[in-house]
Amino acid sequence: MKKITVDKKLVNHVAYLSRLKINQEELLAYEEHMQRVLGYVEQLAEIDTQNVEPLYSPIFENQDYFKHHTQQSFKMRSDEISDSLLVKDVLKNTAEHEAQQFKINAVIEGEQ
Amino acid sequence: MSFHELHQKLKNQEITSQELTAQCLTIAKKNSHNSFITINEDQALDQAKTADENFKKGSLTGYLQGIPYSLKDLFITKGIRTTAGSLYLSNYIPPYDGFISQKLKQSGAILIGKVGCDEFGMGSTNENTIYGAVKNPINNEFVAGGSSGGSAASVAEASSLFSIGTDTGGSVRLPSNFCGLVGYKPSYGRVSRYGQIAYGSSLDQASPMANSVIDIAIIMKEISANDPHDSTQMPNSQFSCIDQILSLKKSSVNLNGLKIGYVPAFIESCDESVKVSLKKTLDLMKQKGANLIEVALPNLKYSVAVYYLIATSEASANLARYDGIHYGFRSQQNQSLEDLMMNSRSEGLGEEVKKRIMLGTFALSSGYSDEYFSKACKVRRLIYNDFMNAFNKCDIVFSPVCSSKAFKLAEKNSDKKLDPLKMYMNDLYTIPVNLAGLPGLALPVKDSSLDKLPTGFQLIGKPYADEELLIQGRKIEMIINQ
Repeated sequence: MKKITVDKKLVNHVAYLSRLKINQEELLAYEEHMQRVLGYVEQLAEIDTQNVEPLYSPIFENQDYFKHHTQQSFKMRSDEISDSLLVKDVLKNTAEHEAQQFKINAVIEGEQ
Repeated sequence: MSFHELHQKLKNQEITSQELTAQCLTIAKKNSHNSFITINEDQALDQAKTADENFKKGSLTGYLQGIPYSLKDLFITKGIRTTAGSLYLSNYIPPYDGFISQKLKQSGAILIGKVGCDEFGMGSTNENTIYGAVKNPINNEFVAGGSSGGSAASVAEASSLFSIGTDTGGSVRLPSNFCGLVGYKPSYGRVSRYGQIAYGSSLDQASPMANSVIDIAIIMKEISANDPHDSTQMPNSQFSCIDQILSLKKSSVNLNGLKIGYVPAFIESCDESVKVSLKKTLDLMKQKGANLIEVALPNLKYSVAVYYLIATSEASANLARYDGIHYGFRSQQNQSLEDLMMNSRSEGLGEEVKKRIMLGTFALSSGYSDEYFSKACKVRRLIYNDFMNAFNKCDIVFSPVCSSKAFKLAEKNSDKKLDPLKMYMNDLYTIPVNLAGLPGLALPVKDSSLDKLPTGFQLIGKPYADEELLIQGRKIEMIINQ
């Protein structure tokens, strides 16, 4: 883990990736927060994890315990189409809709 | 009185669900602790009426029939506003019921309303929300804890007899501990997450809060039912321990050599009153037949660092759906599609939420994901291994829930401005349980200090050993309350 210096450039880059707008007054607060937390997590670099597999979700690790309880294994369910929500219900919570579709700004330049 | 006793009285019509519900609604509307975001008055009274009619007819659905409860505002409820404690969803009315809402409807329980929480589950004091801080009913100057502060306050003030919160890093166990309740985080994958607004998908679990372990077991029976919507749920599991729990007798309760592991340093790290209480509990358990065993969990000290990379990464992905388009807040500043998205998110989401999204996006970004996200996942495995090694020597691990009791409202906010980590460290003992996917039971202990604030402890079980943990938990609850 390289020691990282959090600067305005990094904060603006990460903000853009996150699709967040951070104004000038807030920039320092975000910079300080990131610096503090990333500085704290640097301690993980001192741990030897050379032959350690990442653990992404407990369900894969606990298969044996799971079988002990249910005598079964995790299975993916079959990919079958079933009923979902009605379009009119889906559109109830959007700001603008038209012709049974969500309405937003033009995506392609020049199109009206 | 536990739910099975209350059930008899409701069946015999010695009391009615309508009476219970009316009492709860009165307290809810009084709003002494700012517990509720949305009160479900008309529907609750209807549901109670139906429950009483069913009791009269002899049509019984189970021990939760007619019992008033609250739901943390992270659970989707059809037709009832669900805000996640956020401006972004302040007008969101879900078009469907999530699993928890559906199941509890079927059980005949009565929904009093949706209770407050830290926004999107991010916080440990229930102060990170536009709906205002939730106060601790035991002492109004103190926090209720978070993120399920509204859930805890509603049960502690008796506007609900139970609540369902969510626990990603301690968000049910901590407020339970601060408000004197029993809070239970099931094994990861025991309860369906369908319809639960996602924060950290490999960590989240719906978690009940109530006044006794018996009630928790009764709730778990309902909410652990199978749901094909959640592929991470343990399928076909039959939750069964209520009969065993009900057959336990206070006069003869004994732990029969139960091996309880603990880390002395964890206990020594706590504030004085918490430390004294933890040691007393260990003594009581030993007197009643427990075999106390020192264990080492050497990597748990890295838990907060690991969590603030993994949970924030998962949150960054989960909150990407809030784009100003499909539902929720849409900014007026929307000259372009990019503006629409960026402004909607920036105006609609709170400061703490945005800070966590930023951390997560960074940890997952190109050039950094190996060193940050993947590294954290490797250390997560070391933490998991620590527990598995401990479970070779013991049956259950005993630990603090939090090294301190509840603190004053806004106290940590002023600290937070100086150092956000002070707030994050509240979850040091609860986070590892989520990282390893284990079941964790927070039990309360009354404290005779002047501030009247309770304390308590945590019992951690083996993967999927929820029933076993609750049985032992009930025994220990009886022992400490003798």
